[in-house]
Amino acid sequence: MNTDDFEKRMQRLPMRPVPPTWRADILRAAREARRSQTAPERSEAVSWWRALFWPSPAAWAGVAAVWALILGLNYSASTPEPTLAAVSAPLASPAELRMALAQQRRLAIELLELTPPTEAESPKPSSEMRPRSDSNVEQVCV
Amino acid sequence: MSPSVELERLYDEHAQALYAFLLHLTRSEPDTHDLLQDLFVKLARHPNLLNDIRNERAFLLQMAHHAAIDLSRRRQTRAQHYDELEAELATAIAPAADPDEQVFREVLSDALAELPPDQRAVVHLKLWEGLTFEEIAEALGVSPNTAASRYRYGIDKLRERLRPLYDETQ
Repeated sequence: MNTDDFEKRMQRLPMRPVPPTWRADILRAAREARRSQTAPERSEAVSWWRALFWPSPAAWAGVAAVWALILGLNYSASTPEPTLAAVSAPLASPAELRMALAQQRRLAIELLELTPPTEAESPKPSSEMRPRSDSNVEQVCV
Repeated sequence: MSPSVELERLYDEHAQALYAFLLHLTRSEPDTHDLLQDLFVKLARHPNLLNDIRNERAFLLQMAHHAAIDLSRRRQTRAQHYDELEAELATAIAPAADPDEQVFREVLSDALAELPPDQRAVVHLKLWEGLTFEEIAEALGVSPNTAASRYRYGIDKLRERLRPLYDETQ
């Protein structure tokens, strides 16, 4: 008996086919395994949230509403109001700058309900404040 | 391709080869069903298992071989149960209409069953899957030389056992 012939004859032997009903069974089992693998992860997350919120859903809704109100108020309060400096246009010349400063000073005085200082009330330099050379001249005259 | 369609493709392309290989290893149709189902369940749970695999068939046969070895080890702890199944040994070789040919196939099936599982696996992969010794070595986790020697030992035993029938039917 030639070895090659023997092997060739064996190779030609047909194998039994897979029972046709197996395909549906096996593929169904595989699909279910895939579904059951992904389903527990989702259900765990859902059950965690449910365990957290289920005991008092109205209370949690109230807390959420209060937080929304607080955040809204905080946002509106933190919105910057236009300041005097922001409102005033950039000045082009020193003369305009002086006028603007004087206007600001008047406005500040009005707000503080103070009267503007007059020229008469401005302090005069006293004799003690005179230069020493002036006193020497007086003494010479005497 | 959706995972479901991919599973169907894998089944249609490889289930026949896996079935014959597992049936030759386990000699039991229920065990073959369970192992084949476990294999596809594993593929469904790990869709990326076959990424970067050059030879799908060889890789799946390797998975099937590992599963069959695991089952065999579990069965060895339940020898009594295994003995009960001895009477129900199944064969992967299709029956023949011709009586002489049918006798040849039955004797061949018995002779295959008497081979050690390692030799049986190599003989099956070489004869009926057409794998090279390198591919068989990779699938079974042995060296190519070991695969070749196991094949030679197995074929010699089969030839000796079948010589009278083979000479008659020629």
